[in-house]
Amino acid sequence: MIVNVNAIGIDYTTILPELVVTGTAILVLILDLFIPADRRRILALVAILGLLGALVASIPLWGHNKFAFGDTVVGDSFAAFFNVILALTSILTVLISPRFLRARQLDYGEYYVLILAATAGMMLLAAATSLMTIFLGIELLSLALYVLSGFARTQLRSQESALKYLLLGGFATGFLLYGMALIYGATGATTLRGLALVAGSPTAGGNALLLLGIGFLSVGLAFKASAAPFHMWTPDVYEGAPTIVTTFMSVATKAAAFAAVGRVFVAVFPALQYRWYVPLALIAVFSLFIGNLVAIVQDNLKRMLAYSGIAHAGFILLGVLPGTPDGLASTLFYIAAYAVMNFGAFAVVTSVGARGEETANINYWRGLFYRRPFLATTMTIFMLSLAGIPPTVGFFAKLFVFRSLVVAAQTANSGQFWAPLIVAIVMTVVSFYYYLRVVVVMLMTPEGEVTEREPVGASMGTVLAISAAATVILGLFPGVIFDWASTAAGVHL
Amino acid sequence: MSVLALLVLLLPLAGFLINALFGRALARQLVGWVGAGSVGLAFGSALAVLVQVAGGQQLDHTYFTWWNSAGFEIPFNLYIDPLSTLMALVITGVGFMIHVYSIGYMAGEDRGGFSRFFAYMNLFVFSMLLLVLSGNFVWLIVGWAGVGLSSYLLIGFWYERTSAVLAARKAFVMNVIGDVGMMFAAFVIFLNLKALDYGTVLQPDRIHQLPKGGTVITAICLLLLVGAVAKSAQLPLHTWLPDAMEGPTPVSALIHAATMVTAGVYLVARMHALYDWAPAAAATVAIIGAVTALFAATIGTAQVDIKRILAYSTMSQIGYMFLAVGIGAYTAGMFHFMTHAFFKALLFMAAGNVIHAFHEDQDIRHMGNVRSGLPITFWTFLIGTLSISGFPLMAGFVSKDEIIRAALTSTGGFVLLGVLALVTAGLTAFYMFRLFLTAFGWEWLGHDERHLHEAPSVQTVPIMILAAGAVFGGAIPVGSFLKPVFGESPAIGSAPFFGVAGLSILVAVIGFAVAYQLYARRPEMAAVVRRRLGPVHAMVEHKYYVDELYDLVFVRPGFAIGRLLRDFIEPRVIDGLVDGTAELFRVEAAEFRSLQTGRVRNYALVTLVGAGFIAGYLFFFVRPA
Amino acid sequence: MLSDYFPLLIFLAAIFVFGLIALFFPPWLAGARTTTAKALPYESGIVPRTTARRRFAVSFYLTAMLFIIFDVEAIFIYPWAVILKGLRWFGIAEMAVFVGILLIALIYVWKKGALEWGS
Repeated sequence: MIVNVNAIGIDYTTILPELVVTGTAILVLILDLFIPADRRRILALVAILGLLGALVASIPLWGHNKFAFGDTVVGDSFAAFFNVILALTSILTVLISPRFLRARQLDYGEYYVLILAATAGMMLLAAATSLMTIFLGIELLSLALYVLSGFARTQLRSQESALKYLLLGGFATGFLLYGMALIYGATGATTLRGLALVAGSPTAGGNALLLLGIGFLSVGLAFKASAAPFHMWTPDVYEGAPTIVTTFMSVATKAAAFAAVGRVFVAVFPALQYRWYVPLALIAVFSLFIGNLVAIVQDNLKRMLAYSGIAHAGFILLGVLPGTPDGLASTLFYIAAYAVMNFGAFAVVTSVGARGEETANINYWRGLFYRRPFLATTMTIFMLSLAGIPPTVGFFAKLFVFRSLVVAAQTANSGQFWAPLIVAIVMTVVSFYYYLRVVVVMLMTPEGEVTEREPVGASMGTVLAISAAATVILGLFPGVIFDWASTAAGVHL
Repeated sequence: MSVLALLVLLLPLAGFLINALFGRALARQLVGWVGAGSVGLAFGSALAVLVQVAGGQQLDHTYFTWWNSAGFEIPFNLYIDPLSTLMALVITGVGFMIHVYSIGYMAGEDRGGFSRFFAYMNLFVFSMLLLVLSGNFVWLIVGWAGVGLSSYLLIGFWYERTSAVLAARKAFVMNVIGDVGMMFAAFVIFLNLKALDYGTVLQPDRIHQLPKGGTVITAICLLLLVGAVAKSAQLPLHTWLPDAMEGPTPVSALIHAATMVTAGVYLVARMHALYDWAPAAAATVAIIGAVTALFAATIGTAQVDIKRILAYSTMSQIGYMFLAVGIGAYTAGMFHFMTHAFFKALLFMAAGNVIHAFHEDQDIRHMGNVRSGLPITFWTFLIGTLSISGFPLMAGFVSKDEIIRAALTSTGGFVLLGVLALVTAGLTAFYMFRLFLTAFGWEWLGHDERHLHEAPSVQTVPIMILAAGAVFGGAIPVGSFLKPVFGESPAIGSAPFFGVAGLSILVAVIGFAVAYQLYARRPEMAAVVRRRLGPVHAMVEHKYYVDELYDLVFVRPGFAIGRLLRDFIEPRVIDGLVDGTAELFRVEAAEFRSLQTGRVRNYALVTLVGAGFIAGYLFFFVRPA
Repeated sequence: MLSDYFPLLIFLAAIFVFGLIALFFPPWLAGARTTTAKALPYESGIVPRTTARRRFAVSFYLTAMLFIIFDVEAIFIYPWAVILKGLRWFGIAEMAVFVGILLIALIYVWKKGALEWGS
């Protein structure tokens, strides 16, 4: 028996970014064994080079629609868009890592391996067009992140956070897998192409197994995106994990999860939009409520940003609700904007305070403008952007999402889109309170004598300056990214 | 040409960025030359643009799309035609002179102030160029707000002075009224014409789909006029301009005489296709212009502060320009804009030299002996005075005469406006010679022993160059240059030409003669006249009590409402509502937070319940179709 | 279509009812009499002397985990071996990559000292 290998469409170029990142991870793993401990900066350098390679390898995918490996992955603009966001996020993370890790005696080579592995998983998730590869991507990124959450091995909080994440993540993965099994049972297909065929048939809307499967699938993905009510792990894990891991996790995981959400709901099941609209809209509304309301009463900045992340998951999900490429484009723009501003905000949190002491408490931030004006200024930019105040990119992110809902309400001539829109607008106003509070606190005179005057460091300074500049420049010229997002959102199966 | 046009715009921006970011670290000389040089290079680029525009080229080039979403597209495009080229040339050319002059004038500032000044000035030039070169309403408004901002910053440049800060605030508030008008105009335009770029909006075919003189087109033009009136200090939004003289004198020369305040004239001229279709709005422009011209000229006769007199004269001259563009004589209006930029910038800069020489005293009654101390300043100021007063064949005479002639030969009630303009011309000659004779002139007969020093050549050379413009600027063929924009101006026979010219010379001579009689020959008569006029004089001296009126009608009630809100509404109603809402959210938040127990089993339970709800909804509420 | 699953529902109900019967019926029938001996983990075995919750050396877990990982991965080789003739050199190359990565993992584990016992 001769197996026709070519029939399944082996095309390594479609997964070249993933391969490059994985290869770099293996390379770093080996290198770590053989280089002396005081030269681990080389690992960071290798990791950055590998990620840059992945970035370059993603660009040829733009504008194509190349399915490969039996329709399980695709190289298209959508994947390229996310690859660029993910690679850039990882590069920035790695840039600011060595200093952070050394200050806390966590400077192990495995850190970079795990970051790279998680990135590879996220990229795979963005390119996945089969339930199998979606699961593979999610597991790859999750396993790496479980370990990263507990990377500060000697700290109880870090261990606790890792264990919680593992247990609850396993729980959610169960839902995800169960949903996939139900979908497979109902349709007999695992590739998204096959699913789309079935979902397009007129009887699909009455197929209870399929709908239940979609429901459970959305539970599993909402968990990864930390959308309420599947968000419970988020504050604890974000708080306990080393801040640099939180920085990476809060941005990259959410982006990757929404890549899967976007592809599954907008590309595969648009015909069933009238069925999945209510559950997803409820998740979005619930996230907006929980995230924004609870963030108000947080005094720990990491927890506050965790809830703000939950709220933003709600905003991002709004763009998916219409089930159209137009709405998805606004979601993609939001993800890009969120990546820039949230990364920046967490990066500031990592660099406030000296030598690893607990600094996320808001009282410590009093008078930061006078002590460390650079950090305070960039933090102000990020807070304004997260709140959605022009001319920052956060304003346009919200504007585009809201606009897509209005357009959807007009074209579908249905009132169902107004309710989430109104909630989102009201909650935007609520969010001003806790974002601007940070700015106010930084302007207040500090209580007592605080003499902390750590230099920011060249790499951190560069990263913060880049993020802050991007937040403002993309706010002044949102058109470029939005054009890209619109192209990327035109996903075809 | 698209590159050149962009260069005109970006050079001052580069100058601004360099001086704003690194100005404190740079040597003074470098700061000055970056500030002036960037504008000078922009002038050079504008000249290169001129060569191509004079050859008949036009340009509406889109550099990038700033925003494109669901059919709402805003490009960043520059619109280069003879009109915007003329504006850009005057802005950069006169601007360059004033920047060079500032290097000398601002030499007394410390290093931080010096670089701040040039950064602001370059920011202004950039905003102003954006305003005139922009090819759509969005960037027009951006530039419009930008010049307002830089004007605010420069009026309040000496921020330790309370009066400067108050003046800056007043200018800002007045200008924001205009900005709001502009914004609403843009909204109405977009609603009715579905576009915001000039290439589409100003198409006659498109405009003519609206009924001529209808509500929509009239509303658009009047809303635009609100912006124009505020920016150009016309009645009734004029009160900020005299106060704006608190800024350094080069600022007054550049912003509050030569360029920014004429933006309103540019706006009407640029939108002439709209105004031609809204006769009522155009007539409003003309009436506001003529009345302001006369109104400001009368006030100018009774002031004693040299810069304020010049400020009122600016208002008055811009009134002429408004009159011109209001009656459709766009070419004449733009011509007068150009010559006015020459002689008014010259007058301000010369006045600046005098003020420096008299140790920042601006009262004309304290001045004297200028000719022996500051000969260059003296003669150039005289040239400026002759030009603005309409001395035959000076630039000011040629352009002003065109406006008066256009008004007198036009149909309908505009003839009356022409008569007003003629009276204003006489008043102009009177107050300008009053200023000149009092401050510069006559005391050289009675020996004045004060030793005054002429300003350095970095200050006098630009003035002399502008003086050449004030004399010979009338020979520049602006009319034929602007023909592609406004079309042929109506032909006028030579008989009325000489008749009107003779009339305007006559009133100018009368004005001069009265001033000479009262302030040179028999100064004691001036006091008698003042006494005779009594309340009229007091009214003019107090600028018709407009400031007091606004204070009574707007400011005081505003404060009263503010106090009411502060003392009653705010603490009781608003705070109650806000606090109540906040409290509600806090309670809710605390309830949600209590779910966050930190126990994994509780978290898993919440997840399970959530998944259960979703499954339940999909399973039970969605029955098979 | 949903009615196809009705037998399944009956089956589930039967399981549930049987469980209840098995749990509560015998004690009700026989009556419950608790003694100390009955409460012991091994009613009929050796009497425990210490608690069962002892700490084991971490190496036990480590070795067990490593064994399982490599063991599970070895399973992939079986189906591969069945169709190897059909896959030809492509199959060889793919497996070489797979085993190569495992080899790197082994080197890593070795070098990190995870295979050292009790040092």
